[in-house]
Amino acid sequence: MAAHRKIKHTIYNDSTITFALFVNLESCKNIRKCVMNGTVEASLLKSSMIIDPFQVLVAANKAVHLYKSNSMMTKNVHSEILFCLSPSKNISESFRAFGAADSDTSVFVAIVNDTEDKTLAKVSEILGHQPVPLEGVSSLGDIKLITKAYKLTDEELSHFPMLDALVSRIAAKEIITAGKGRI
Amino acid sequence: MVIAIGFEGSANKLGIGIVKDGVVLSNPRHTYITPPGQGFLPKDTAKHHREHALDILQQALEEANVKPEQIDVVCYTKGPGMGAPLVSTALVARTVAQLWNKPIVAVNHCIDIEMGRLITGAQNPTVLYVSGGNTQVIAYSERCYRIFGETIDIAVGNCLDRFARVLKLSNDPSPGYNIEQLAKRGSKFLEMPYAVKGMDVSFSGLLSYIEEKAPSLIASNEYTPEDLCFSLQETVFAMLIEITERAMAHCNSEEVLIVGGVGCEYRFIPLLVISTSANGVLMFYCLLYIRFCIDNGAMIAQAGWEMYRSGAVTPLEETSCTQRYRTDEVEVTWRN
Amino acid sequence: MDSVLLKQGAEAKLYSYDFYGRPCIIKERFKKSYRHPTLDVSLTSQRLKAEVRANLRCRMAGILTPTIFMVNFDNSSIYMQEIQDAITVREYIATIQEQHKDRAHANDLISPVAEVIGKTLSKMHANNIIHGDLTTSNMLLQGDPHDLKLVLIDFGLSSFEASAEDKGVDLYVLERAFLSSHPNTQELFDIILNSYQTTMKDKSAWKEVIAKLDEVRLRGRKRTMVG
Repeated sequence: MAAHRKIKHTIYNDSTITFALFVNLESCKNIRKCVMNGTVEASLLKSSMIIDPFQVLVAANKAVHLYKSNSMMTKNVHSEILFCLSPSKNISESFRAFGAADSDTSVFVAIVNDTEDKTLAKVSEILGHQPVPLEGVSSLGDIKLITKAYKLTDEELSHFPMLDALVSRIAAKEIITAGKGRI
Repeated sequence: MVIAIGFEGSANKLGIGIVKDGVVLSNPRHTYITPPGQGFLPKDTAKHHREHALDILQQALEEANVKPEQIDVVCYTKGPGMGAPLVSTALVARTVAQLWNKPIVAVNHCIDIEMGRLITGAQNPTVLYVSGGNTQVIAYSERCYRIFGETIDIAVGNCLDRFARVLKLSNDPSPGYNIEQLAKRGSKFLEMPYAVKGMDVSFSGLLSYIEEKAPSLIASNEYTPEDLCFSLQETVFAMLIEITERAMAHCNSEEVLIVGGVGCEYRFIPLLVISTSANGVLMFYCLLYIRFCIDNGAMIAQAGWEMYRSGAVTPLEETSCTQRYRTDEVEVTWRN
Repeated sequence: MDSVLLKQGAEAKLYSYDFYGRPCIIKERFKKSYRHPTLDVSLTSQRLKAEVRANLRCRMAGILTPTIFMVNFDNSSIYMQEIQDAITVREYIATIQEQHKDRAHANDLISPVAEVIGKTLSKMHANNIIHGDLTTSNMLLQGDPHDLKLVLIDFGLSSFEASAEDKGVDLYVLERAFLSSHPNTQELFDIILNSYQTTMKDKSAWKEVIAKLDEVRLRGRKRTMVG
């Protein structure tokens, strides 16, 4: 059974989002190079900033929606997923904090409209690894780092699952960060 | 068969109406009109009512072709309203009641919703009561008309009147009417403070905003007085319709009844039709009959007639007036 | 995914939906054609944003609100978590009153809910969140009524204000809605106010809010009602 997951967008039935998790890598250097120069169209996410695939799904769902309604903040749908995942309004800061780094030994990959899984195959080939089950990402997430990045409060975490807190922030980002950056 | 005569003088209009078993036989009125930029003062308004009371009474009896001895009950407005005009009108009612030896019934002015129900045939409407001093959304539950929403500061009529004064509009026939005439020619919309709080509204912020901005906006030719009247009217009416709609949803009511002087600004009618039909759920059912939504004697006679039929008579020593009177202070004994 | 219309409110339609396996409610604000188009567009967008913003601010303060999954500005809709096994406080009160005809006994049974309401609102106001439309229909009770979880919804008219006036008006709006939806329950509302007060850490702030509440109550009654 394939470890990756392909999901139809909830509004746009002609769009799909593919997720795959790769671990035990030597580095992400080559795959990052390919994404940078455009030979691979995918979103390479820092696995330590993710606690659940649903967190990425909410960001990707939003990115595709913004793409379809011509209101993206970044240049393509894959960079938009990265930006949507981040609570920051600053694009380069978002890329730095939520994009995979060269030295990372794991990566969460998101691909929009991967016809016949061709892009995923290419990513696997470049990494020299097969994807592992997505749920594994929960053990890779760095709770401390995530709490800090999303500015989660203790009050909030004592009443809600962390995932729900993250999801709400991602969905509401442009509304809550308007103004002075305070929620 | 019951014939009731009603005296209404809670504001600047003096009205005397005669109703026979729900049929209006006569309903003459006389309005005290002040110069542009001026409101009506209690003392002068009371004087106006005293001066015209006998003529209007004569006219009411003649038009109805009714003799004093045929009348069964005398009704008058107890409140709410302006003190001096209320008292001067009540005095006339008390005098004729004693002169003709008839029972007297004191009526809460707000209860003339009953007249609206009678005319329109509405069974259980949500009532938007809008006049110079009153802005309330009322519905009937547990033997009382309950106020679901109202203004938490000034009334809508008051807001419009005061803006009319800023523009120095004529008070003839009413400031609200003249705002409406100007508004019809306005087109450029100015966004202003929109304050709906639950089912309540607030107009004071809106009024101070437009009072402050109007002179410079007009002087700089950015907006015409017509545009400002149009924008003000659009804004306050949207607020009122919104709270009415909310109350309707709250009470599962499907009928709207608009009563009170401001209800006469006919802009409400198309607005409500659009509102209710676009919504698909709220069914537009009934609306005002313009002549009756202005303060008048027939309304008071009608409400008094209903009270009298259910056995209510006010002892002469209790036929006082009160400036402040809540719609929900009156227990409704005549409705099931 | 198919959406099923649950409810048509005065300004929004509610649909039941499945958001990638999560039970979801879509709240879609519709156009009000009686409003001037400029006013309508502005109000719809203001309320959409206000709703999302206050929802998140409440969560940060530890007040329960539905998780937000998606905001669609194209059709002014919010996709949010469906609060399951929940009824509105309005339904809850009505049910208890139906089951226990003795008013005093019914009020006793409802009083724990009133306490939680007071506590929650106190926390909300301490964070300067004004709900703007407090009614017993905008509060959900989740799960076991003995382990009371109160979820606040419908923040479309919300704002952020530190003033006692705004907080007083917020309580006034609730009082009016409470007493009109549930006649003869003044003592329950008093329990709400009492619990609001005991939770408030800053006692002078509380006094100021209650003074404003009294002032607003009086405004309604004292206003001269000229025909």
